[in-house]
Amino acid sequence: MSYNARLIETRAMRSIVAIRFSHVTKKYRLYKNDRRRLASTFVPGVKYDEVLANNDLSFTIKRGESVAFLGHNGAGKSTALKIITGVTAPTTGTVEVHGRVSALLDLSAGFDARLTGRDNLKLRARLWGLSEPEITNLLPEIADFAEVGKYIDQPMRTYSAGMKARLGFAFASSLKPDILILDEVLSVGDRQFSQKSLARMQEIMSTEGVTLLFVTHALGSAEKFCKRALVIDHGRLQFDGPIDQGVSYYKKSTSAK
Amino acid sequence: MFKTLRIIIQDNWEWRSQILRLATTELRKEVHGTVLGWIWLLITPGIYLGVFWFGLAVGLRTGSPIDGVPYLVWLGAGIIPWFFISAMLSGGADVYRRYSYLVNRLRFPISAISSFYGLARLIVFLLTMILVFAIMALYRVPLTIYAVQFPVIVVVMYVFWTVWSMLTSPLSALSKDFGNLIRALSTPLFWLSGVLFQVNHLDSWWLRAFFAVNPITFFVKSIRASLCEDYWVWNEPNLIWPFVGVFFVMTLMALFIQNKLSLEVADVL
Repeated sequence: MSYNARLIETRAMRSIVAIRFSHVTKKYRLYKNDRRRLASTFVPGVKYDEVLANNDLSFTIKRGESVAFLGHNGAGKSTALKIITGVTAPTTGTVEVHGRVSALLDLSAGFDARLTGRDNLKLRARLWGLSEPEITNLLPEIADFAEVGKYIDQPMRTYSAGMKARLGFAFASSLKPDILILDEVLSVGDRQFSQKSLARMQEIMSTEGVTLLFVTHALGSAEKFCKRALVIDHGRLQFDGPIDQGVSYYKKSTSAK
Repeated sequence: MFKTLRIIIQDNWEWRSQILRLATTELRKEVHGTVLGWIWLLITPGIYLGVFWFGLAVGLRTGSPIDGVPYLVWLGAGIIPWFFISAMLSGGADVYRRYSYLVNRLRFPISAISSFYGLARLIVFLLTMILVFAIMALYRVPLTIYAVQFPVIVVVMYVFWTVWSMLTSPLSALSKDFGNLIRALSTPLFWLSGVLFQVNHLDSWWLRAFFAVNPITFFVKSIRASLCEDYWVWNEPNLIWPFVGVFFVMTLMALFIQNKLSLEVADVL
């Protein structure tokens, strides 16, 4: 597949724009089987189906905004967030990201099950670019927030789903990123922990200049945190505006189906 | 092509400290929670070497010195590199599936996954070389001037198999069949290389030609050349030029594949 997209990434915090999508399209090619996919690397003309996960998507998010991405499962929200995070490449269009992105893209959150919680955190912090002393400072705070207790030195395969999610959230939210991306992370964990994470998010948002992108099906917490909503359906932008209108638009579109 | 090469080199340089960290973490993962810890990394190759020595020297009575080199020294200088090669041959060919979280959950240049995996295996290799040096000391085989080739060969070996991993891992990510094929080929490649017997003594020219282009033969022979067989690798055109050719073609193929598939890998895992 040929990629014809432009990616502009800077750490320029003075830019008013944090993220800008201009006519971004992401195509996924679906082959009948692996053999055809492999063959398509070497010979042209192998048949495939095409899915447009993002279809001519354009929006601009300013620094310090908190935006909820609303839409049905498979609408293309997660794809857009993955493009912003930089783990997947858009097929066409231009993407601008200004600032460092910390993302919690799913609950297992890129932890290695065979490593201990502590080793995982150290590794992730190192990949993020923190220095050894910074990591040493940050680690107890993360472990404390995640309430994993003695499990911090146990391999992560022994963790419960809730513990993994808590550690993932604690890590992603402790990095002090310029742009924080949370993909359906508040749907797990007990009441007490979700209260705690809500408080943490409030704290992050009160920090000057942090941009928050938030995917959730919990419309209540979206309304609480975000001032703006983007409703996406079939990869296209359906609505862009204030959160209350966005939520009612989304509710209407759900009941219409 | 050159752009892909530039990007790969640039990515690997920029992320060098993370690559080192990932490699050491990888090793910690293997020894964590075991009582003997790092010694385990020596035990498996040690037993393997012992079994081969027993089978070949004691059982089949083929253990006479090879060109004056004690058989166990000669065997060890082949088997221990083979452990590294075998890990890269099969494990290295499937790193994107194994470390999929680095591909599609975190921001990390995918070519560097091969680099850190190779580095982890290389550290184990250098550690297990202690066994070979110990055996050499036991048999009083001295290190000579030819040993200066050893570090160079180690570096070439690392680069070669890392490039191999960059070539094959995207294909394994696309197709499980490809990954299985590579794993299935690893055993014949072992027996059809110079690890266990001398390939110069083969009669048919086409067999010799096959061994000549088999990179495993090149590495095993050149490591032996530097440690116990005592000759300069570049004085053997039949050894070095087929390997250079294979390396060159493989690098071109790896660049083609990385250029074509590096963006696609994240979408198929």
